Amino acid sequence: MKRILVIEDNETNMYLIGYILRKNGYEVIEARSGEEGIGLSITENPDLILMDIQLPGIDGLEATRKIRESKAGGEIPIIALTSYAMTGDRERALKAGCTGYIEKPINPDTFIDEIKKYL
Amino acid sequence: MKKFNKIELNKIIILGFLLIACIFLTYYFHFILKTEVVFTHLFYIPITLAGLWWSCKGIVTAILLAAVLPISHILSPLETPLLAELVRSLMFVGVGMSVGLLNEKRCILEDKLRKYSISLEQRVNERTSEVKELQEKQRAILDSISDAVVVLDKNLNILWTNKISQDQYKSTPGRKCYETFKDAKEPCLDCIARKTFADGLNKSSEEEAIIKDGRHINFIVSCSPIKDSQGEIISVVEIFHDITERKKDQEKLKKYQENLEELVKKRTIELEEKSKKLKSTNLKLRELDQLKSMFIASMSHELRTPLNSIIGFTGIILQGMPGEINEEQKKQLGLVKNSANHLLDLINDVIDISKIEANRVEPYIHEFDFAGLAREVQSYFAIASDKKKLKLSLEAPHTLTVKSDERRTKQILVNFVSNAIKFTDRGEIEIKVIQKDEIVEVSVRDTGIGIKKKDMDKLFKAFGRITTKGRIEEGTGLGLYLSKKIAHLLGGDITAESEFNKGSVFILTLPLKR
Repeated sequence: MKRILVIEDNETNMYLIGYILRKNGYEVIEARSGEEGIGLSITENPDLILMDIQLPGIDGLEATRKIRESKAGGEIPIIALTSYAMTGDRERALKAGCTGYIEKPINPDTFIDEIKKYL
Repeated sequence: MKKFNKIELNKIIILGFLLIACIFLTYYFHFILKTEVVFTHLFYIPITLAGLWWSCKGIVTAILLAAVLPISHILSPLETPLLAELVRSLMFVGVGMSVGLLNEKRCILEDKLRKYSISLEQRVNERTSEVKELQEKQRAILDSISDAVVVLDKNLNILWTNKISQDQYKSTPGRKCYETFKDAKEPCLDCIARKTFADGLNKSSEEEAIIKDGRHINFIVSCSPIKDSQGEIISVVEIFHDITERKKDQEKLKKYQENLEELVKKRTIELEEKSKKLKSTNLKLRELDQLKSMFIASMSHELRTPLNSIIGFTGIILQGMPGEINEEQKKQLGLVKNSANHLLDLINDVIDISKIEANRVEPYIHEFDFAGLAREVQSYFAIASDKKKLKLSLEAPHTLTVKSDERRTKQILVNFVSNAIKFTDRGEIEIKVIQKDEIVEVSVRDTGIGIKKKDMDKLFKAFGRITTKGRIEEGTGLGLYLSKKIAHLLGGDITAESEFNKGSVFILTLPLKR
């Protein structure tokens, strides 16, 4: 069973993503902030990390960098959840070390297929 | 006989007397006394007188008296030697002639002298009048000079003045220059006349004076030396040029200048204040601009957030993840999903437009394969075109490297093809990619319903939807508007051609290297 770490501060979004993933057979580890996410990435060693870019405190990019720096988190694929509105979100995400990105709002029909590419 | 004036008459009378006396004496001595006395020497008196008075005409007297002797010898009872008488006679004639001739000469010389004297006098008069005339002319010239001119000697005595000098400054020869021009008792401190006498060079200086009638005047004095033939300075000539008016004008000008400077200072201060205001306004504008951007950013984020739930959960429910749903539920949820997607499209478009309009869009320029992009778009719409039984073809080179914003270019292409499919019910859609020099041109041609000529200008306007009977309105109405804006942003342009009921062509041109 593949384990996916989801770092998302919005409750509703977390519920949505978590529901889809669990329904498709993935174990979901939830983190509500960047700091929590960094910690959990090291301790839990997930197969994939879904990182919301817009986070309070440490934002998604900074968290990504921190994870990349850590020995444990170096190899884990990180997918950034970007917002269409922000200019250069994608590019910055990739620069910070993200493996890929998915645009929000998430398309529930294609979400799982897109994730599978990185697992 | 006009010549007979009193003197002539007197001369004749005297001579007459003398002649008679001589003849009488001859008679007396020869005939009465019968003695030889050389009294004939007296004869020289009348001879000389006659010669003196009448020059050559006086010789007559000599001849007459010379004749008396030989005649008296012949007539006289005395025994006098004839030779002696003859000699005496000759002597008389001789003396008479000499005196006469000498006198004649003297007279001629006198005449000449007189003539010369007259002509000399004449010439002298002429010269004198010429000189006078010249003098007059000179004086006229000098008097017509509107500046006062004086000639001074070493001790600053006035030797000569012109008319103005006399009239205006009451300067007269004999007075000292400082007495008349400056009404002073002593020479000026840096008297330039003295300086000129010292070094023999032309000078000028500006002076001020209050003259006799109380007026205050300014003048410029220029002083030049007058040298004699040896180069010694004998006098100086000074010219006084009145510059009172000029000075007054200068004062006026100064005042104006000062006024102007005051004005300029005032204006500068005003300008500075305005500039300050402008700066603060600019600052405010910049703040507003920033606020605007932040507003756009936060608004877009805020607007999209709820859509996460709407799209997400309707999708999940439609997949049946939480449980089976009936057909009607599926249908209705489908409608909700469609609306949500439509809403998302609108929000995205609006965000795009506001970003472009606020110049907030920075295209992400990098090299990509345009041909590959076109193929991607073609496969993206493969299903949609199949559904409507439309042929979707692509004509493009194997590769075409372009330096531009790939995502935004894709956006435009997607817009084109999506429109083409939307508005075409039968036939085909043709995508063509061509390189023309430094430009890449991609055209999307369809065999759709086309656009009426009158609607062509609405084409690229925001929300300028063209409605036709029986067609459902789809899309945001912003697609082409946005596409054109993006095209301009990338340094290119979009054009369209269409024929109603036949089809349309939309062409995007981009520079090969942005």
